Amino acid sequence: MQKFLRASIIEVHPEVGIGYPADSISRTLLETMALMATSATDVMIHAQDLGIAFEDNAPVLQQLNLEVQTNEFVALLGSSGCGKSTLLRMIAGLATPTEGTLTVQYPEDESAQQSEQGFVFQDPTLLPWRTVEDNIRLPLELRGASREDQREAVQRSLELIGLAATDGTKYPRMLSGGMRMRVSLARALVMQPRLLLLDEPFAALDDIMRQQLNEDLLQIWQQHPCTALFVTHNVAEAVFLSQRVMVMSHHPGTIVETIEIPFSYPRSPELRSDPEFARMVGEVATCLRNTVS
Amino acid sequence: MKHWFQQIGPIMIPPVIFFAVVLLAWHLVVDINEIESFLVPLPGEVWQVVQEKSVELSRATWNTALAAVSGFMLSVVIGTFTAFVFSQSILVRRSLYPYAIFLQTVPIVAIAPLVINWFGNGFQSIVVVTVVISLFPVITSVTVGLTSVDRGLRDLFEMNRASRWQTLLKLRMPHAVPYLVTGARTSSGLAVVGAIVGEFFAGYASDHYGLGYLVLQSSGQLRTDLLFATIISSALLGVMMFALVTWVGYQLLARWTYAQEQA
Repeated sequence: MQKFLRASIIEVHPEVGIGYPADSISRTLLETMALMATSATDVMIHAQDLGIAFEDNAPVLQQLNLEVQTNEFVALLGSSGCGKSTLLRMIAGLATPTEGTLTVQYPEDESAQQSEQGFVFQDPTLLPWRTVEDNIRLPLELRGASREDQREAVQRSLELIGLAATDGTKYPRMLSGGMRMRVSLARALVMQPRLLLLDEPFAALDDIMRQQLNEDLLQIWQQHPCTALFVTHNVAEAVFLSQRVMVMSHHPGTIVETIEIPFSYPRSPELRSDPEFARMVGEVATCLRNTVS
Repeated sequence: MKHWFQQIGPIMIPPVIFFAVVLLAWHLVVDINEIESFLVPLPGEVWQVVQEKSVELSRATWNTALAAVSGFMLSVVIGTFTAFVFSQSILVRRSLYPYAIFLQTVPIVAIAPLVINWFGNGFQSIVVVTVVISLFPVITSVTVGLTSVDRGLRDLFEMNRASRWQTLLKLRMPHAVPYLVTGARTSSGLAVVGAIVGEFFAGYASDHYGLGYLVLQSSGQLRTDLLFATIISSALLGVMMFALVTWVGYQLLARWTYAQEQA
């Protein structure tokens, strides 16, 4: 039975148009507890009628409904500008919805070293004045982990992502694009997050490197299960990685279709040449095309 | 030796060749047009006065350099601190920025009497004038460095619940270092100008003078050859300060850019 340690909820009343964090207002705490009691215990992310608009502009997201289960791998697919990244930023707590409800519940875990979420950005966002090791160490430093814990976690993360110990002393400028993205992934994983948010992390890489990193990411996810939400506009990538693909429309952005991906894990590179894979890619691509036509 | 020359050669050779061409053109133009020496002296005449007045020129350059370096260092410290205050909020920035622009726009002639009134004649006033002239580039550059951090990096710190202090120390300040170097480079050249202008108004006594005093004296006596020698000394001082600051900046930015790649 999955227990839940902590939940964060943001609710917005359209008439006042403001959001507030749950743990600051007691009424919202009660609502959170009620929601936790009534919702299925393995739902980690729950969004209902979610929307966001920036100042006087047209809404970026509107009437968006979404449910992601604990330890599920979900791909968010949509054309550029449909609000995929904005949705991810809201889930990460970096943007506040202007309407609807968004709940993120984190499962209780034995390990106190785990963080709630890790985020991999579209760009590697590495600090150029820090070495690879120091970049990976950053989240631990900011959260005040002991030096010993930092050293162990960085080492574990380097191994997990397939970087040699000698790479740890290099600076970001000395690395290729793929290596930088690996370091960025290692930094997101260093706190063993329960929720991994990935915002088109491999979009700037060539196809071979992208495929290699997709395979590595799946391997890591299987070894260390967590809920993964992967934003992409690449159909084959979404199908290869995820259990479900959520297709988004735009103006305003919302989820128009959720497609189950029937392939079991582990998924090998050969899956890409499977006729059934090609059929799924075709089906998802058609769905995506319909959103822009 | 070969390695040293390979590094410095491509930087030094083009300006040296350009200088030689300018000298030649200068000589030919003055010689062919028979221009009077008090209007434009020949390069050889300037070189002669440099040799004759080498002690005076060296002493004046040294005094000006002391004021320029002192003013420059104060500008870096005050400018960085001011930029730190500016970076705290948009409201603070909007409130104070017009007064920083004042430093850039105020005619130094207008405030020089005030400076002399408050600080007296001599070194202190020259340093104050130097600071007024060279402060603005540091303030603007460092403010941009502290406030223009990439959104992804800010999000990263926010998601990891970094305190304001952690964000400043581990993100904003290191991010501002290349901007500080850029501002300091501009400021170093202005510091020499500031010191010479300061000496015009608040110069030293006649037995303890800087390049500003020599400029006034030589132009007053129509010693155009000495004036040219003084101008060249000023230019060399400015170039040396710029080169020194560039070198220090190169060392500071080694992690950011070149050094590791070369290694």
